[in-house]
Amino acid sequence: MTGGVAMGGCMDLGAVAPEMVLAGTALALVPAAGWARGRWRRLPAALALLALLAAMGLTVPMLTATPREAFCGTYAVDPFRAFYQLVIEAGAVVSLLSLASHFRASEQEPHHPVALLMATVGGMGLAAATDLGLIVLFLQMVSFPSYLLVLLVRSDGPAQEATLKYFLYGAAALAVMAYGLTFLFGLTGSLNLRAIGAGLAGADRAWVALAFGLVVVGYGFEMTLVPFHVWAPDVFQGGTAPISGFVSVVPKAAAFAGLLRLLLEAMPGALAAWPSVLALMAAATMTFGNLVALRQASLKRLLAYSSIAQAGYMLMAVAVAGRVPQALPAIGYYVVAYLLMNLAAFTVVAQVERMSGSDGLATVRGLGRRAPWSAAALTLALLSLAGVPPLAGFAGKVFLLLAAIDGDLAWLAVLAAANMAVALSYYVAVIAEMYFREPERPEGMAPGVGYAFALGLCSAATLAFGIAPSVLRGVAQLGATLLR
Amino acid sequence: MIPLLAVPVLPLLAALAALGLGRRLPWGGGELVVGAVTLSMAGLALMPPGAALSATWFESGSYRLTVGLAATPLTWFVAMTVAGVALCVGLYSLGYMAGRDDRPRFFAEMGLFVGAMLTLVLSSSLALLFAAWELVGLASFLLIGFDHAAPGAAGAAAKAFLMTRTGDVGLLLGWLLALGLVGSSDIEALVGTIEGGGIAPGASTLIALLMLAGAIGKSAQLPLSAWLPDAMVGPTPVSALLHSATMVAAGVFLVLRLYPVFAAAPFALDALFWIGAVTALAAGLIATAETDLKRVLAWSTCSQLGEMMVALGLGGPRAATLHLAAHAAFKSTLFLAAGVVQERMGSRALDRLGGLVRPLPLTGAAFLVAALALAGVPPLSGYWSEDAVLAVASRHGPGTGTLVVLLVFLGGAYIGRAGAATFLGQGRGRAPAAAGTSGWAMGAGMGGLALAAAGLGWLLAGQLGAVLPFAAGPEAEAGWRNLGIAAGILGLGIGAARGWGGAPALGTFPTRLAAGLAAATEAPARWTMRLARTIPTVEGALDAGARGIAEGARRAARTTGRVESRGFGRGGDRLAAGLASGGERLRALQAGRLYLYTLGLFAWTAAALATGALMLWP
Repeated sequence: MTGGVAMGGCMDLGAVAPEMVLAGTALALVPAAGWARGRWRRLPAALALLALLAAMGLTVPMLTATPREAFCGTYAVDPFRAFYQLVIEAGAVVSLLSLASHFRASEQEPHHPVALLMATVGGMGLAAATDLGLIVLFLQMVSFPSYLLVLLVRSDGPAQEATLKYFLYGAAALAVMAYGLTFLFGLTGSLNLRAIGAGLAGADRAWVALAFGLVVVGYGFEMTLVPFHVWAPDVFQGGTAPISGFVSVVPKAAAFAGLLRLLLEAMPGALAAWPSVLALMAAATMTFGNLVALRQASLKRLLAYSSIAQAGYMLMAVAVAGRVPQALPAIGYYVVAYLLMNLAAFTVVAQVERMSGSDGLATVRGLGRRAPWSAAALTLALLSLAGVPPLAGFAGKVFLLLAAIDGDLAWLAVLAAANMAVALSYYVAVIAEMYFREPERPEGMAPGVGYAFALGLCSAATLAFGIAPSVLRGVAQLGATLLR
Repeated sequence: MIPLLAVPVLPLLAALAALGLGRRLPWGGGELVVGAVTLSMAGLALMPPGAALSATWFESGSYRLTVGLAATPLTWFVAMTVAGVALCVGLYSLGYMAGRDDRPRFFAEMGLFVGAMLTLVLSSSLALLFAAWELVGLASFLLIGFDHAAPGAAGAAAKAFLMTRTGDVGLLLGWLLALGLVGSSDIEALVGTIEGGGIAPGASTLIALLMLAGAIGKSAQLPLSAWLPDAMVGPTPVSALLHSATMVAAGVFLVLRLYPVFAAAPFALDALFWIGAVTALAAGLIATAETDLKRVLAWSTCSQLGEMMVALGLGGPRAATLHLAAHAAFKSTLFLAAGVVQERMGSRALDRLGGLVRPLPLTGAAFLVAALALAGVPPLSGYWSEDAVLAVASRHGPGTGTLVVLLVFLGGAYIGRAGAATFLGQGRGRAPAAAGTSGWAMGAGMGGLALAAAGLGWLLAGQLGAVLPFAAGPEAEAGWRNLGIAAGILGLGIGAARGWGGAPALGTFPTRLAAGLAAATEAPARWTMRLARTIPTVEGALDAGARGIAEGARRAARTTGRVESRGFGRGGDRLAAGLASGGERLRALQAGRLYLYTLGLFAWTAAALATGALMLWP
């Protein structure tokens, strides 16, 4: 019973308060969702929203916490974790808003908040876990509800195929990663990231490189890095647009947080040459994503490839995170900017999709006349993704490029800048379609308070953070303090 | 420093107001924009010299990004030019757009452009300059595509945005590199560090070359020139304001603004000279054979901007500034005249015009004044500025002097031919339509610019010379000066004689040159698209790999299933059947509601937790 006593000694429920609120709500919503009938079907989403806001309130104080560990060194309480958990919760809030509008009065209305909350908890756990076992657990936890979400919405052929692909590919990727983690354990005899970091110092380089090569597969899968991105376009297209938005933001942000923690805690000092490997992957990811996006005629596929490219930009700063102190806040800033612009774009696509039942480029033709507000929001989001000042995406790209230049990766910065020029062409094609073409159909947009709130929040924040980047940058700076 | 801040902000506010209130105003919001530009101009005129304001935008580590405006002699002068042209073109647009439903959007986009352009010019920070630079490009994109119905408008708008953005990548990297080396985005800080020798020659050459890429894109120099002629599908006031006088001159302005950086990088100055020289010659030749009046003017703009680049490359920033202002005046006059012609004739193809001097005498007079100015005929503005360029070039050597004389000759030839084909000879098209009721506004705008085209050079070279930035150099030798005048007049004569019926001034080979250039400069875009087409095959292979994994998993599952069903499956079946019959009996007790079961599970968990808590309670 000594284990139990020791466990009792390092219990620290305050460290997991936000996760407990969300997980508890999710569990309570399972039976509630089954009972909800009529207009009560709105209740689960409302409760989930409240729970998310409460969790955010509980997370905020940790932004200034002194880094410490909880649960016997398996869980971190530090500003880094608080920052990424806030990002994940914010992503969940915005996704929930547009999902609530999207499933209004449909069969699935009461069910989706359960899966969404569970995936959110998984992502939050991944940002905080410092133990190999927990990392595997939380990666599964963020993935499984995501599979469910993709399938839940539409049980038609494309959605089923997308889910199967997502599931099988994810299972394989996570298994490979778990295999890699066993090497880390075998080399050091510890599951704790910092203990591994201390133990790896004297380990054989080849084994460390092998372990890193396997471990990066799991994160690369969640972050849609080339060559582990193959699932993303099909899944984004197969799922409904708001779900695709959620899947493109929350697992990705969680994986970035998890990978950063793993690299900085368990592989300090460029072990296994990870900066060079990641720099090459970043180059491949951004170039590939942008080039393929050039020829997409489906909005969701276009956004899928664009989000692959955006992951490449962020990875550029991850590659220098070990030597450039400004890299962490740069990534933090960009993750938020990416969340805002990507969710705004997917929300408008959701509106279009709900109205016309398709997501082809032609469906937004003349949108500037039919639905000026939605068109303006999509324009803002796309211009921000392309990095046009003074929007959040521009300041974020400046931070990332500066970090890369500081980290002696000038070649990568040049490549990224060239990529940004290429990327503009497919974003502009959508904008031109909206404003320079006559509408083919007269109808406006699917109305919905949730859509309006989601779009308003994202657009206002994209503008505000772009014009005054120092606010968000300051918060991201806070969130750069990591338990080491 | 409220007046300085108000200069760029007023047009932006007017743009917002025009968008919101335009439908209820008699001129569709245009009066707001024109009024705001007038106020901005007045603010500039009354501003004390050396006014400046600056603030920190944000800090990133050891880097400080500032935003700020400063009225140095250069920025003040160029801002005055921009505001002056914008005022006249705005006045003209009041008439040009009269009666159109989508006027508010036009004036809003125009106000956005003027505000962004004034920010660009007055900015004292590279970060703000870049932001304004991009906004100007965005406004250009919106304005070129303004007439959705016009064939090719959307394509031309996107092409212009993308090609200039390609150059902007250079500018972005250039200022990021400068920021990395200097630690601040303030332009004075960069200039101070460069002049103090704080940056290695290699690095400053790299910065200058990267900035040069941005300037080439914006000023439509080779190899990023193909967008400018296509941009002529935009409304004529847009061509006059953005694509001749102000936005395309931003590239030249950028080099002027960062002239100390370029001066410290001789290689970049050489590159500037050669790019400018090749562009000016090629574009001037193409302009002699182009069949569309506005496209003639567009190629002419490329050529004249190239001439400014030549002056800069040879170390003549004062001559380049003077030519920038003079060119803004005479080229926008030419565009506004072309706009009147198109308005009344419904066409701008040179072989369908002709003989318009009788129905449109005022327009013809404005065109004549501006054309003579372009050809460098004294005492019009172009004479003084081209004389200054010639002085710089001839001092440098006879070769460069001859180049500028040749450019003056080409200028005379293409504009003489275009003018003769449009206004002289027999009318080849239909009869001109009647003028609208608001023709006076168009006349006033065009007349104001024509006056400037006539007198500006004389004023600036004479009494008002003090407002020009940079120190004056020695004047051109009389021989070169006379040669320049003669070349211009000879060109005019040849152009007018050959172009009487709309024929090319110097034969048709420039048309082939244009086609070749277009093919060559668009090749990279085609290669990118081809690459984008081939990549999916690579992706197909990756996809097949993923499918392989899925297929393998399924096959393994099927095999396992077979083994299972033949082996211990039998026993399992029997067990299951037994359980099922037992279950049938239990079903009577429990209603088949999954949610109830879950809740039962919950109750159980809650009870267990509560019991545990009670037992552990100290």
